[in-house]
Amino acid sequence: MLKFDSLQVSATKKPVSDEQILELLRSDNTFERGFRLLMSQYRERLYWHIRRLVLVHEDADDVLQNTFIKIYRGILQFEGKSKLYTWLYRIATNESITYLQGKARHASASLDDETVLQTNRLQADEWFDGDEVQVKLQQSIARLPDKQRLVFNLRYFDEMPYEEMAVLLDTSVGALKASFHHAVKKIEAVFKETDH
Amino acid sequence: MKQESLQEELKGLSPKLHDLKQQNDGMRVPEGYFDALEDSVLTRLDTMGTRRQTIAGSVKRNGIRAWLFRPQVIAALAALFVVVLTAKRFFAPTPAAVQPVVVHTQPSEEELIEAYILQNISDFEVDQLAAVAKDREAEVVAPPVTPLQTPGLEGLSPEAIELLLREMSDEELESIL
Repeated sequence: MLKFDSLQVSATKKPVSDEQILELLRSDNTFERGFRLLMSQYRERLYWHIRRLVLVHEDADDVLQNTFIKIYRGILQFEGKSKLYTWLYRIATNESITYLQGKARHASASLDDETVLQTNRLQADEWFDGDEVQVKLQQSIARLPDKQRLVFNLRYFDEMPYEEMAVLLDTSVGALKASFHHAVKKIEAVFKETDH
Repeated sequence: MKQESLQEELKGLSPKLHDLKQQNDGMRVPEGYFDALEDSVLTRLDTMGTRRQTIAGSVKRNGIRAWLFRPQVIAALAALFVVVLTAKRFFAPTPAAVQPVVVHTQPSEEELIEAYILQNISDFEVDQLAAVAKDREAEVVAPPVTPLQTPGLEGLSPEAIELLLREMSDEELESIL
């Protein structure tokens, strides 16, 4: 399982600092090199963040490419008020939600219903070979309210610290902890229910 | 440290989820997916026409002089020159349109009066103006003042009159005047 921290450590290429990337992006001459570095630095983290939200690889690929296109167009507007990856995560999160909303609109369903439908698609995804327990986990996560699902994914899969999550979601650490605890309890309840 | 704190948090909250976290979640990506991603994104940007066109490489390799002497750059500069020249001709003032140079001098008294009338007196009637004109004509055609008729001096030559006037006393002169 890919984790938020392990990705930084396991990166095969020499890690480049955000400041170095931004410096390259500031000049027309080095913009493309900087953008390629940004992609190689963040592509896996962003992919897995998106994949947990949209579940199916094909959709995650679409959303990730859209995310990088948005980043390409808007990177010069990045003012450096937050960390670069926080800004990137925000774009990826918005793109994922917009993508799911678009699919839900197309199917005349709500966003929550669409997320549940995505778990059915996940089982048919050739890039998913999880067992029954993993399918159940994904179904339980899909039933969570939007915000709670997002908090659960960021904490459980990406292992993002609450402090960084608070900046990303513009919420207090206390509210995020409460949200995560509620989510965990709901998921556990689903497992207990089906175990009996 | 962060990982430990999550593990601790999960252990306390839900042992089930804590155990699940140690297992593979079953999500995979195609072989070489991440390596091909960069080119896919840049190709999409090309297709959309939003990819930045960088000239940096060619400028660095050959220097600015070499870049300036490229046929495309020369053609562009020539076109720009023609456009500037045409625009200059097009917008240049024609002789008819040249305005005479106005020399500001001290206005004469007449000009000041005329300006005063134009600014302050605007209720002249046509009849009034016509009346003024008539009076002026009358002044012009009025008969000249007749020479002084002095009794007893008829038939004398001017020299004789002058001599006579010199010999007259002040009282006599006053009585004539």
